[in-house]
Amino acid sequence: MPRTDGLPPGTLVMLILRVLAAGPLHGYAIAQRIALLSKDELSVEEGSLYPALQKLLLKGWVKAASGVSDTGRTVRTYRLTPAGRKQLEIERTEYRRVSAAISAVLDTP
Amino acid sequence: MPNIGELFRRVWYLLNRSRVDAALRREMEDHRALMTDPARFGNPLRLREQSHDVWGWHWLDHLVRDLRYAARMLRRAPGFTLVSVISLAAGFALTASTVAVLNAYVLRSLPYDYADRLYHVMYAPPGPWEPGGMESLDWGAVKDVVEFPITASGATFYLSDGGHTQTIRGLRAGLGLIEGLGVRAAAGRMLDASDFAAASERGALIGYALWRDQYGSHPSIVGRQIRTEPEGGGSAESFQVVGVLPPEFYFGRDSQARVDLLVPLLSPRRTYMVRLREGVPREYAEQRITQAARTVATGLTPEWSGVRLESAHWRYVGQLQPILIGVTVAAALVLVVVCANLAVLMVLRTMRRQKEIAVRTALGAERRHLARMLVAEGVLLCSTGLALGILLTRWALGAIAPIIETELGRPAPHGTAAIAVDGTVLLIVGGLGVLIALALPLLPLLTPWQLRLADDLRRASNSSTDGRSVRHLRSSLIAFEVAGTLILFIGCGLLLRSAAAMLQTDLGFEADHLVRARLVLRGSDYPDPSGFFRFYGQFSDRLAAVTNAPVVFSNWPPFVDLPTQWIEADGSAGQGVKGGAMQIGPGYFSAFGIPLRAGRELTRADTENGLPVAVVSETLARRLWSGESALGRQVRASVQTEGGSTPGPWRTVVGVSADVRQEYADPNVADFYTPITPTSVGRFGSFYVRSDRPLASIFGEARAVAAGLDRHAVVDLPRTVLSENRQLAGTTFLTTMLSGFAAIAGFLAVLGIYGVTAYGVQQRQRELAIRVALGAPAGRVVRLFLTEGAVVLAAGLCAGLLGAAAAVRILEHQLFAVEPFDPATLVSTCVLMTVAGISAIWWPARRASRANPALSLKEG
Repeated sequence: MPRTDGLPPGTLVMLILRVLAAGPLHGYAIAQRIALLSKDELSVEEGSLYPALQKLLLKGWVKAASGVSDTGRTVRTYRLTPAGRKQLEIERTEYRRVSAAISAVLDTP
Repeated sequence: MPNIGELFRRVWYLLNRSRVDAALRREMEDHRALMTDPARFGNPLRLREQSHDVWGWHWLDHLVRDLRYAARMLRRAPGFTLVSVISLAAGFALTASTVAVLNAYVLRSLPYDYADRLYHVMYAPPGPWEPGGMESLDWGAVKDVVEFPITASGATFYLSDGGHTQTIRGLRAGLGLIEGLGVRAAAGRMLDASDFAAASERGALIGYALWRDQYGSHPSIVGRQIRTEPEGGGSAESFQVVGVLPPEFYFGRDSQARVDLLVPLLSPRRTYMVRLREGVPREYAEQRITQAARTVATGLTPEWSGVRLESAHWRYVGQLQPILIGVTVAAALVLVVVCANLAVLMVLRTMRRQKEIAVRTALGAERRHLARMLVAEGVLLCSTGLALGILLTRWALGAIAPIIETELGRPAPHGTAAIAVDGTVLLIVGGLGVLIALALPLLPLLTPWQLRLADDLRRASNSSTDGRSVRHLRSSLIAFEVAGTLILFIGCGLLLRSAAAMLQTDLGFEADHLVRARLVLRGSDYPDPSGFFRFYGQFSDRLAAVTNAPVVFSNWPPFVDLPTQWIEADGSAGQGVKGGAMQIGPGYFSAFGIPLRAGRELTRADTENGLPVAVVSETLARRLWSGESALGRQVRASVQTEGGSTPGPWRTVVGVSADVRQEYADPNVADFYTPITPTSVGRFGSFYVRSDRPLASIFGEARAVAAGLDRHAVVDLPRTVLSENRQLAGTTFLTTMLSGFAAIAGFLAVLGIYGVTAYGVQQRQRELAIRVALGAPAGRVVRLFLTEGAVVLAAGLCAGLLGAAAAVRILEHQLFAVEPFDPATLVSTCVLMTVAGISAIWWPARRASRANPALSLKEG
């Protein structure tokens, strides 16, 4: 996995899946959306988005298509596939389970 | 979790890689352009590489890079590359060719269904006697072991169709043959159970070649009525063709025994082949069939050893197997020597590259990187050598396959085209190639690698001395080469001595310019059997007049063991000796160049009047009358038959001939010759002509003479008697092959020794120069290398002798008049190897001792 400062390993994939769940986006927009939603808390080295996207493509969780951006330039947009949607659910559940467990340990007086 | 979709996407990526890469690059650039602080994007190059790695193809990139680098390194050492590739190609080509022949004859089963379950049935050990009544053996009673009895009887038919008559090869066969061999029709249908019902119309299968040549492969052949007349008398038969036999079908001694017409066999015959049921052991089947045979056998002798089964495949190739295995082992040895030689070259090359390797290590290369670099070189060399070798083999086999068949004396079971590079050959040779490609480059890594980095880098020249283990590795490789070569030399020497001994052996007759041909008459033309006898007499007189050369008949050919009979002399009171018996025509001894020791030879008067006379060989005369004159004595031979032994008439000895060997190692040269008689000859006759004229002209004249006497007489193509000397041919073939192999191996071994010595000389240049400068005589310098080399040579010779002890077992059957551990051969081959090895050491060492020390020291 690419090195993503400030992010627990493996979470970048989940974040991308979550962001794409709202609708197809291109690379820059994905980075913007993650920054916006996390209120810049999760500072990602933006480029590491791309290796993560390759993994999603390989797994068949997203599909890429050429499209035209708002500014009229050709861009590649990424769209979640049904498999990706399912994966998001799996990762979300898994993350909640693990983080709850970690919190339980940390919060034990 | 890998799944199919993922695999497809990976492959898709590999195929569209450059496009995807370009798109990603653009995408990243666009992204950076939109950012207020592009530095936060990260290193685009690294990110692109990471993206690429996700798809899992980096190993392929590494491989391509390693191979490309290896190719560049090899291009920089053209001499090394050329020698390696050529020697590997030669080694692989030899191995592939011999494996191809071995595959065609031994590895592939016969071209029938379940061929591994086909057995030949022997009712008695080889010989004239078999118990009677075997044709009524009830195969149904042994159904649990024998799946199909395969019964057939060959016959020659006259086929009258379309105005003219021709002879064709027919086969009367039981249903078991069709089912047991799994024969499938090329057109029409096969014979089935209904065709074997007595009342049915007679169906027949036509051979593919006859269908093609006579009927233009026209499908209308199915349903056609054909009329045949059995050769040798009998009423004409009419068959309806129901189907065409497949093109490769044959039945008989070898794959040239094609069948033109296969018709149902309706009368009981002896069954000489069976297909056993799956999983039935041979011994058990033999017991069961022997039991069944006992119930119907007539004239059994108490010592009858029962029915034996011999694998049909073994019967075909058993005799050739030792030769084929011998050649294959020899080729494998050559490949071993090639590899050892290449390993030596590679070790030397690695040593010479010590500096380069030191630099690489200093720059952070790990041991496994270096190993990968070396393996890539090995893979490149080996695959090039392998590809060249396979191409060479394909090309060569296309040309020499028919020659191989002639030399082996038997066509390949699947036809000439089967001696080729097929899947099995590729698998075997390719597997060897992979092993070699991986093993060769790793050999230099086996030695503990003393990476004295600083030392290596600081040193200005290459004149380092190698560690002990490196020297040991080199020496053992050379010893290995010497051993392999010595084994080949010994095999070659033994065979050469055998061949020489055979050529020097006096067989007792002169085979040169002796030609044999077969004559076939039509039985129905000769109601009285004595007609055959008259025909042969007239034929030999006329042919002798035309060719101006002696022409004789006999009932037994040279180079085949004679049937033995029990020979008694007068007054010996039933005591006798075993001797070979044959019947000969007048003038046999002079035509064959067999000297007469006493008396006269058999004449026309003896044969025509059926006089009770005989000629005995000198050994037989000595055994019967020990020293006394044999002439005028009485002698008779007893024939072993079903009922026991039947004595023949008493005969007067009229001549004593020199001994004749039927085989080189003929165990019994006591022979008994009697005249052919009107009742002992049949419609097949073999005649011999001693003439130095071409076979074709003898053939033409014999045909003309035969046709003048009987227009139905058929003369087969004559052959020289020399060509029937299979034992000499086999030995000569093996000798030729092994000599070639040994020469290649010897050359490579000498090259290896030379290379290692030259390298050693180069390494010790400084030391040698100092020695010479201090006044060491040239001889002492040379001796330095010779003593070192002699130890390696001696080790190699010892290993070679041990290896040879195992390897000569394969040759045993091909040897004649020489022991497998013939001291003369062992000593002379060792001497030859030593001389070759010593000269390969002496040459570079001598050069070193003559070099100008001042120059060497300055350079060093």
